[in-house]
Parts: sequence; C-alpha cells; structure tokens
Amino acid sequence: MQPLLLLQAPPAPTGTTQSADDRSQAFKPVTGAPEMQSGERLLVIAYMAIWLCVVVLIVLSYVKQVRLDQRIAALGSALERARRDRPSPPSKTDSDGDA
Amino acid sequence: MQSTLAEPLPEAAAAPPRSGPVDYGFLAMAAATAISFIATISVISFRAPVEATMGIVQKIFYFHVPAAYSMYLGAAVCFFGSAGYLARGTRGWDAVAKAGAEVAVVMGFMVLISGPLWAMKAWGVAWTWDPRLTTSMLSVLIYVAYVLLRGFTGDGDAERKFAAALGVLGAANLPIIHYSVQKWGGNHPKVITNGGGGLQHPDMKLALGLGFLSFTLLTVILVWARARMELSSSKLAELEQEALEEGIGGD
Repeated sequence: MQPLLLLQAPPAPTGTTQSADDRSQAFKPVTGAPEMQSGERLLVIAYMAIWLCVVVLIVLSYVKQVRLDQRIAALGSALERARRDRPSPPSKTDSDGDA
Repeated sequence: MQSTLAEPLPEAAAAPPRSGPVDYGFLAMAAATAISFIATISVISFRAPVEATMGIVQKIFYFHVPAAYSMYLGAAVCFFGSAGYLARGTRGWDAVAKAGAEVAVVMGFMVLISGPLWAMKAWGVAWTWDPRLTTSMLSVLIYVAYVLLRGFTGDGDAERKFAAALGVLGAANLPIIHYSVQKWGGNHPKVITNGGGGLQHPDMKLALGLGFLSFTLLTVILVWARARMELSSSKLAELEQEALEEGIGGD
C-alpha cells in the first residue's frame, strides 16, 4: 500500500478547482500570505530620501556660497584696482574728501 | 571686503561677515546639529523599541513628525521675514523670508516622501485625500510656488513685495493643517496630543524629543546658511552694478 500512496498526486491547492474562465475573471486572495511590503525596506527608503533631501540642499548651498564669495572677492579687487589706476581728478582735495 | 571699497555699499553692512565670530557661531551650530543627529539616530536604532502592531516601519515616525514641525518652522520664518520686508523693505528681511520658504519646501518634501512610505505599510495605500495630507501638500505647493516665483522672476522691489505677500498669506494654511485632523477626522493618526500622546514607552518619547531637537537645529542652520547666501547674492549684484559704473566689463 505504501508505494501506491507515493504515486498519488498531491492534493490540489485551494482555489484551483475553478474552470479556466473563472480563474481569469475572479481573483481570490490567499489567506495568511506573507506581507507585501517589507517594513525594513520602507524604513531604509524613507531615511535615505530624508538624508538625500538634506545633503542635496547643503551641497548646493555650499557650492553656491563658494562661487559667490569668489566672485565678490574678484569684483572687489577689480574695483579697487580700477579706482587706484584711475587718473586723479583736477581737484585732489575734493576727491579725497568724498572718499 | 567692505573696507577695500572707497564707497561703502548700503546693503553690504547687512551681510554677516565671512570670518570672525559669526562663522564660529555657524560652525558651532553645525557641530551641535551633527552631534544631535548622531544621538537621535542611535536612540532610534538601538534604544527605541519596535512598535507592536506596525513593526519597524513605525520608526519613520521619529523623523516624519519633526520634519513636519520643521516645515512649520520654515513657514513661520518665511511669514515673519515677509512681514518684516513689507514693513521695513530691507534686503535682510527678504533674505530671511526666502530662506524660510526654501527650508519649508525641503522639509515638506521629507514629510511627503516619508509619510506615504509609512502609509504603504499602515494603510495599504501610499496616499489618501485625507484632510491633513491634502492641506500639507497644499502648503508645500504654496512654498514651492514662492521659491519658483523668486527663481523665475526678477529681483526687483515689486517681485519681492509680491513674494512677501505670498509668504504672509501662505502661512494661513498652517493652522488649518494642524487642526484639520481634529476637526474633520480622516485617517491620519493623532499621536501627539495635549493628553500626552500615543507613545507608550519612555525611549519612544526620548527618540521623538531628540528628533525635534535635531530638526530644530537643522532648520536654524539651514535658514542661516540660505539667508547668508541670499545676502551675498545681493552684495554681488551691487558690486556688479558698481563695476558697470566704473567701466569694468565682463569677468
């Protein structure tokens, strides 16, 4: 009797006794299935997104601030040079007083 | 920089200097923020217990709620900066308002990203048109509009005043976000309440408290950095104008 039992087909899973038409038109959920969303994965994605927002803002701010400082320094020194090289006006005392 | 120019720039005095005590203060604040975040992450990861029903995904809460609070802070800074600009008309107030709006946008995106990730687990859907979710998104869109307005229009007085009006009116939505969940119900949980809230463990409360501290420091430092950058932009615009008057062209 034992060999005969081994040759028998395993029991059909629940929900497969429908016809092909039923299966294509009626979706039945499996009860007790594992969760669709992994909490760990969602947590990691959330923390990565949060840090990405912060890091992008900090890096962009830093890069822009450095560029602004360089440009301000360059323009400041150019203005200083231009004023130094400018021919002095006829009345020297007036220009000194204005500065 | 200012001392090298023969004529002092009227707005340059408003810009914090690049060296000296202001920079040390900024560095100290940055260090405090970093330490606070390290402490917060340690407590969230190693001390705060996993929540019984939702599991580990509940730990999103410790950053999601402080980020929402920081969005309020940024929006409040934008409100006061805008009101100050409308009252006084100085570039300093305008810089503060713009910095506040930018921080509100970044914090708002954090809220709108982390919230749906939690909701996917807790509700089974990422988004519902719940009153608090809808009003929060509306508020973020208002500050996105502010930032776009500042980015794509000129930097004249009229544009700054228009943006300031938006900054003042945009704050009207903040109390609506806060009270929407109490007045109109919806799915959004009411964890933080006057009665002590739904955090059942002292380490959960510690993690949330540290989260609030970290995000407050982060908001302050981001507003500071962005306002300083805005004032530098103003100073550069004035120097460029001076350079044009002096006949210094191009680079």
